[in-house]
Amino acid sequence: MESKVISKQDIAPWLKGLAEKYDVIAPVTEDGVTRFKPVDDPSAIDLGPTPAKSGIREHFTPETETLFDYKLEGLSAEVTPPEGIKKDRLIFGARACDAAALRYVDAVYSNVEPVDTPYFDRREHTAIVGLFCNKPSWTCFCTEVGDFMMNPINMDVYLTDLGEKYYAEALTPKGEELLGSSQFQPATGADKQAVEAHRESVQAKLPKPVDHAKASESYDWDDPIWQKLAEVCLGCGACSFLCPTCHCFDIMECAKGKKGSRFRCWDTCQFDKFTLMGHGHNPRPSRVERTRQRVFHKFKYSPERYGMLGCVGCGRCVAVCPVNIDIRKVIQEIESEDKVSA
Amino acid sequence: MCENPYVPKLATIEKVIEETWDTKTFRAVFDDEEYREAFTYEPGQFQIVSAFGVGEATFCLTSTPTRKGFVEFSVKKVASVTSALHEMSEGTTVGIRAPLGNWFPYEKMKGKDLWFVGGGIGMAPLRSLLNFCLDNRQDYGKINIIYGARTTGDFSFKYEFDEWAKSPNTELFLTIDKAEEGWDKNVGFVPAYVTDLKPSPENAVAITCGPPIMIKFTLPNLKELGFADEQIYTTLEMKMKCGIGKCGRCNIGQYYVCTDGPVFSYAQLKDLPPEY
Repeated sequence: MESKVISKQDIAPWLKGLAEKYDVIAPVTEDGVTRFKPVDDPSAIDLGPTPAKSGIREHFTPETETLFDYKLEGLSAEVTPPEGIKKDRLIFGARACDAAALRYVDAVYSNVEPVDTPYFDRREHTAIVGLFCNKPSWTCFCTEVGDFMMNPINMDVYLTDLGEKYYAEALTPKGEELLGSSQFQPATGADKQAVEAHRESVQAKLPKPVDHAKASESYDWDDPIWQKLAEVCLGCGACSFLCPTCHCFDIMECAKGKKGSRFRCWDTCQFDKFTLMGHGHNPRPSRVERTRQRVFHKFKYSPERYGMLGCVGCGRCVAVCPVNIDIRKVIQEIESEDKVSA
Repeated sequence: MCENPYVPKLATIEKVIEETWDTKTFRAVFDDEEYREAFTYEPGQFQIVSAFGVGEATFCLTSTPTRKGFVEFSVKKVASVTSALHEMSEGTTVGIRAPLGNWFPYEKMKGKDLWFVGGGIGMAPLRSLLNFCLDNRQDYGKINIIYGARTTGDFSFKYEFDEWAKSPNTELFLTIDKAEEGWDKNVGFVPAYVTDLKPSPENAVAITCGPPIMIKFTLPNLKELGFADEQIYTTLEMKMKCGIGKCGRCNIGQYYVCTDGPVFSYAQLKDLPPEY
């Protein structure tokens, strides 16, 4: 596929030109927090350098989502599903970890029939323009769990910041179409060389790959680390809510008299009621079982079921945890031959 | 876009049966005639029922697919959705998402003696397979039904006991926890009664469902009688929301009870982390 370059000052006119076809979603900083939001004015976009606090997940699996509305009349009922996506969206500035996480969510939501149609409706109607991480955060470890920073997946275009300009690679036909705008010029051999050298210099600073899927075969169900984690974990679920692969949800009712809606909203295995049954039995009654579930699901069960880890190394859970639980250290400890204190 | 799997089909409650002081069985008929005609399922599968305005809850399909035109679900009143369902009268509209999950391997059971071992409301999923087998009576060997309840008042499906007991080559063994006046059948817990009845494992399959404590003590007794892990089936219960392997709630190890189960052999169960 072809590669082009675009001068930084041409990004805003390019995105404005796309607004007719796409709703543009990009990182915006408000009250000191950077999140991906719909933007009308491209000058408001804040690309970093470090990745946004939350990823692009909420634009594929929204925090709350109406599944259908209902209306009651006497003993009868009527249900109306919501309309699908009406206008395509373009996510600008997604990081490689966030785009790679969609491969995992795709697998979960399509692994067995029926597929999750509201999710795939969003996937099909979204173009993704990714951005190479020039300055990964101290919490980043994507290179430990995959090579998607160098070989991105689920992106249509991959941008790399070269100072005055972006190097832009089309990765799909949709991406080629996006690079067809007049703001892009063909990339030269020198540009390509500069990008490759630059990417390798960034990669060299990041952790080396570890085969966690293989290592997980010998994870210890009764490892003392679960008890230690349970003692410090608050069960707040912030790790799950910022995790780009966490996909669990609750289904609830919002009733207003004779009308209402069924909706789903994010939920997490870290909450005590997640597995609590109507008659009172709870298979994961304490934080010992729940902290183990989070780690086992991502690093052991997911490779077994989907052939891939449920972690893309974005490090958001490390950055957000109020009691400094660091999943990198947890994994390191359970995979270590001679156990050290977490 | 394909059909949204979270939108239930509307159905009308046609019949409400008071089973016990806290359990009712509902018979519902899908409103859409075409859907109703085409609808089929397998014994052991489950459904998610909507009480609009309150929410959804998961119930086994207690009816048998051999008897067409309706679905049945037995509801023990435990929380909000089950209470809302208990309030419902005949003619009320509910939503149903079905059929979900896997089913009992009734093909593999053909030609074998069957031992149904049920306790309390755990008889509901067994009843689907039991009536299915009785409707295909020639395909199966002797059918034995061990059914236990705390008291005589706690038995569900009493109106079918006669039909079961009078079916050819079929025996019904009832037991209650404590003696009651006028009760001439067995007194005692299900696991002990299983041992007393000494079912032969030869060319036999045991299918059990009931309170966790009953299953826990029944399994070793069956093993002691010589039943292999592959000869014992049960149906698991886990908190579920989506029912289609997405919401993550019923995850145990690499499996989801809603799509890989709810029916598991004891051999499969032993492979699961002990979190059910």
